[in-house]
Amino acid sequence: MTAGADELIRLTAREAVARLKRRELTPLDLVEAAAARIEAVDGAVNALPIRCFDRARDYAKRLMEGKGREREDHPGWLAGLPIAVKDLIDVEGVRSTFGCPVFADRIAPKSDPLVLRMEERGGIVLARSNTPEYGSLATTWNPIFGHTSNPWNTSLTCGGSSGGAAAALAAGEVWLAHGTDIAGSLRIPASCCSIVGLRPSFGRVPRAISGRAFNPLAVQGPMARNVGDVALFLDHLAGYFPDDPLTLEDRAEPFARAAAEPSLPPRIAFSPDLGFAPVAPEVREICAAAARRLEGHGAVVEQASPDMAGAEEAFMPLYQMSLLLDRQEVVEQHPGRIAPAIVEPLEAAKRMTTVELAAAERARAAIVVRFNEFFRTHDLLIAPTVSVPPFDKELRAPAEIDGQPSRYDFHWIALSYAVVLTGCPALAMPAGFTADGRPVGLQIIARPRDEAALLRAGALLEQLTGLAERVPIEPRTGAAA
Amino acid sequence: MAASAELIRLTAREAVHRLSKGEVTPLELIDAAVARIEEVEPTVHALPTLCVERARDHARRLMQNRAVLQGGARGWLAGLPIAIKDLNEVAGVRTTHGSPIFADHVPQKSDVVVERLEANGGVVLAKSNTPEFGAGGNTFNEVFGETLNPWNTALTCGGSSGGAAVSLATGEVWLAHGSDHGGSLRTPASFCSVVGLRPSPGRVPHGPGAYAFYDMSVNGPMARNVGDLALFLDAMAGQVLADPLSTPAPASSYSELVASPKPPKRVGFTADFGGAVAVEPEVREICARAAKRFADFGAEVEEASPDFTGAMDAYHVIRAFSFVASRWPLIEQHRDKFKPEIVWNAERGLKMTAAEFGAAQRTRSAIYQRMVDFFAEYDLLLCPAASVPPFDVKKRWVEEIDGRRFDNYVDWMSAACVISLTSCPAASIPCGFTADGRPVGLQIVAPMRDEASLLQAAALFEEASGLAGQLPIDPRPGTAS
Repeated sequence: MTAGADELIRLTAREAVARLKRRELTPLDLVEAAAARIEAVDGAVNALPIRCFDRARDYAKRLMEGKGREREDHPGWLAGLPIAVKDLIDVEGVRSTFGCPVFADRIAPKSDPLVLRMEERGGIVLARSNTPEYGSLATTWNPIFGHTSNPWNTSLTCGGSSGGAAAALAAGEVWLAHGTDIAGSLRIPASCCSIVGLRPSFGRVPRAISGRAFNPLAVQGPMARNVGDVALFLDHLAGYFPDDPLTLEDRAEPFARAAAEPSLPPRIAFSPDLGFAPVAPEVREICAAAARRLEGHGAVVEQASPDMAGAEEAFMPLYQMSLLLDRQEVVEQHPGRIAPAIVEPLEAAKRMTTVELAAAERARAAIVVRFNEFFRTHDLLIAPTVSVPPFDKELRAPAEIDGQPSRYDFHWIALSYAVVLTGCPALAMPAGFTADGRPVGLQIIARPRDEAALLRAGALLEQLTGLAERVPIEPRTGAAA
Repeated sequence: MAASAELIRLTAREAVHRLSKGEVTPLELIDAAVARIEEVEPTVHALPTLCVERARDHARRLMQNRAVLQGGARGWLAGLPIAIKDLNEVAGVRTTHGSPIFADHVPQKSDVVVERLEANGGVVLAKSNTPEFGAGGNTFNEVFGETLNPWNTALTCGGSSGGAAVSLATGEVWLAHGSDHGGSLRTPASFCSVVGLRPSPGRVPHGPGAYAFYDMSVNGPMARNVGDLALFLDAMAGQVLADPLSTPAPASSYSELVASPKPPKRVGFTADFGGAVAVEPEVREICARAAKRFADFGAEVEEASPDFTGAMDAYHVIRAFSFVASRWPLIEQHRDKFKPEIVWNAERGLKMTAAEFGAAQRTRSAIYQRMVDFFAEYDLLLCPAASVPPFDVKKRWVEEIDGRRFDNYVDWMSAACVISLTSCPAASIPCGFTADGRPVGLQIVAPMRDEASLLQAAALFEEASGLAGQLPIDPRPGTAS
């Protein structure tokens, strides 16, 4: 690709949008730069298997003709920046498969409301990012498109389920990538690929109505290469949307402002394991070291954790029920053709009694009480995002964690799903690298609805670690073990 | 007692205004309320527990901050005495939940809604009567007996916030807190000719409870008129850590909006929820006439309804599950101390599978979509708040309406329950009386989170109805038939 295009893909999203607004760049310039980059590197990672470059060019030209600019004054206006959308929400006229072979050739009849919002607010959908089938795993493989590989070492997993999004960002294919999160899927791949993913509060970013309209577990959210870009993307996606019953009212201030004011609240807690999860020693150390960097910048950092006992027992039934709400129809309509990772939890939900479900709800409520009590004495909680560094991409899950056998596929992501129970927002960002160069990420967790606190603290931590400067990279090969 | 009688006739807003100006003290208002309570309580039994000394202590503490008070820092209520429903704990005050199991229970900590109200200057004076655990639309229980309708003391005041409604109608308090799952803020408002608002989930924080993410059960305000209702909502609304569903208070207060209300452009009215709910003919006529009044302030009124097919079945399933989630351990232990209706309701929940619960949530999502589609055409939905006027207090529940028979204690409240299912905000505003003098309320339903539009329309309707200003009344005897 040209030197000019290479420079463009290295811009931050904010700088790219600023140049678009100043008319120093056109949307078409960025579409072509990203398209060229994708064609150059995606073969090595397979992050963006579905591309709609011509559609994107049409959108770019429309904007350049002055059309579709009604929301120009919105704080989340992207002025024509190309975006990747996860292959779990529909884009009209574009192949939309959910990573499921039943829908391998499906062309979406209409766009998800969030995609409509992106397009109204100046985002241009350029490509769709790879996901495991229906987002069902924390690694990214599906029968249609195969693996997405970690650009830092293409033998390793990029995490999941927003794995394609994370890999595309790390490899410089797009500036912003949309993702979803029900058990950690915005944050796990961010950790694996050394980029930033934010799990917002439920209701912050609209979801299309589905069978689980009132269920707060699954959210949509922003991913980017750095905290400031995530904040911009959150402004782009967030806002009142009454078609989603969980919707929150608009905030007075844009999230971008929080990210532009790096600062810490006075009391920060760090926990290597949230009091319950097995965690590899190297992950503990790298995350602890990153958290310690915050000392002396207006905060005291102490080792402490809310008591998350019962998180696994609470989460799994609620997760299973959530799948039942949304996927029962597709499983029944296509028997034998949907991934076991969807079918098995769904079957478990069907066997569940109301007493069991009620017990899970009560366990969740008890955790929430303890978690919230913790926020009376601490302002932020930092922990690793996942228990291990990225592992062999051929595996669905690591075989062991910190010397103990892994008991189930989600065992290594317990730290991520535990947070989902609380409803708190969480920001996953780079913490460092293992001795053999594998990314390790941490998550910052704030009080309910307080994404702004996450962005202020994340922006400061990012300045201190300097890790945002390391991306984008050229995909690299490496050993699996 | 002329001064006292004058004080209890003030609106809550006037009382708060005089408090903030120092023209009256919280102690004087407590005395006035107590005098009125002594006059009417022997007849209506609305406020079975008083905490007068506690209230006086709180009042004195507020009065010591006089300088602070004049700056408005006493909060929205400035020392106004209020009643709290006996389902919500008040620290140091007997809180029975209407149940013999808790007949002597004195909690150490208050429910967060009580904490919030006290922080906003509300002085808790009394607990208002409720049926056992708030279950049912007729306010009677084994601990305190029946609460009677002041318009005709042979009749029920509805439920479950029956004591609250009666305390307002008789002038015992200016503002009374309530809660609503199957109409408990709206049915008693309808039956007692007061106003009650069921807010969106998370608008009014409450708890913590055993089932923290349960969005179908909400707390809310009741008052004698819409302006006071808005004030009370302002005093309640806001986010607290202990309630993970709670959302921040809106930027503009409800009080401001209601002071200069803007009319809706177009409203849809249904006398019987598109045929899905049985409603007595006289109630249908009174509500239809009331709906037409919306034209007086410039709204287009059309007959229209979302499709509520399947709503009541889904409501029943979700309701039954909530008994298992929040009450089952207790019911199991003390079965003989629960009223048969609650045991029936919990057993229904136990017999269900989690999968049936899932199916009901899917139906709920589908019905929410129908509300969304309706609100694309109409700003508000108007309908009856209750299917019947107040009935004989000796009847535990209504078995037949307009030829349809019911076999359980919930179905007669379908007018409220189908709306509860959608979680949209809904209020009951007095709209007339039957030929034999029994109150009827109009239900106004707004899109999710849009209490602002709802309250403004309610204010305009209240003015157009000519019914404002009739309260408080002295209790009147009458016959049941």
